[in-house]
Amino acid sequence: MDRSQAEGQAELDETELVARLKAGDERAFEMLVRRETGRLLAAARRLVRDEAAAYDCVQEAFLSAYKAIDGFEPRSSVGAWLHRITINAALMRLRKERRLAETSIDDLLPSFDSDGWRRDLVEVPAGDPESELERRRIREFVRSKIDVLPEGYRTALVLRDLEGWSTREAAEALGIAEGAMKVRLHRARAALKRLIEPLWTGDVSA
Amino acid sequence: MTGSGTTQPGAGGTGQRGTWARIRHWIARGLHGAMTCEEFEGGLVDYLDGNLGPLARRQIELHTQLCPHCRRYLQAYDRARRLAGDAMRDSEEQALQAVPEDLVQGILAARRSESRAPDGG
Repeated sequence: MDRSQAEGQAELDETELVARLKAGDERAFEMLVRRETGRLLAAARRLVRDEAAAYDCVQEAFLSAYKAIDGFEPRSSVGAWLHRITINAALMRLRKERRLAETSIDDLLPSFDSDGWRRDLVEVPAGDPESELERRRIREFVRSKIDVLPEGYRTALVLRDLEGWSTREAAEALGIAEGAMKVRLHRARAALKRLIEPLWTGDVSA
Repeated sequence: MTGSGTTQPGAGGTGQRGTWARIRHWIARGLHGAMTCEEFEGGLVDYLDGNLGPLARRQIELHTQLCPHCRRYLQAYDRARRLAGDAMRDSEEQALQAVPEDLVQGILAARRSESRAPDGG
């Protein structure tokens, strides 16, 4: 019955939720866990890839939030706060494992001649497809290509083009200079562009 | 066909830039200090973030007008960036549909053992 009681509280408003969490209300905590775990797990998976490690990041995030709830100030929602903690836990893990070092992806990057002219011709991207099925196929294809990118580049894409962090925030979280962050992001996007070009040359077999 | 100095970029398909495009570009470079493709490439992140000053911004825009290759490149680059965001957001929707109960239980158990820890007094 515990579970249905928790679900019955699904509509708790944010202020009430925070107040109950601060009071140590176990049901409010469970409600929060049920509400946020899916999203947090998706965020962690995008960074750490390994399922057990992603679980650990989410669990760590909830525990840190539990311990720090007294100091929580509602400038953002509890969900957004947890999201941030989860991302930081995942980045910490990647940094500890030194998986963010820059590996070469030169063959995916554009090249220039000695006068600085672009060497490769670029295909014009096709418009958005109309059918949902086709759009889903494209998203799957793009995801499979994002997965090919080395960790450091994928992380740059996730933080900037998905999470919407600023260059400075992302650079700080990754422990690199802002300039290096921009270069990394640019390379990640350029490499991904090259990898997904089959989408607009019509040569997608994946 | 040959020797007509075709202005159609990429018509040859072997990475050769049209002669006209090159000439036009050199003139523009002389007149307005237009940037090269490589310089253009280096300014894209700041350009798309809206972080460039008016002069640098204008240089990027001038280059896209003059260089059909970079115009297409910018289109494709911007598209890739948006598709990446869409693709990753989509994986989040999938995850929301299946929240693993073992993880939920693990978190609840960890919280319980945490609250039993005697650090509060």
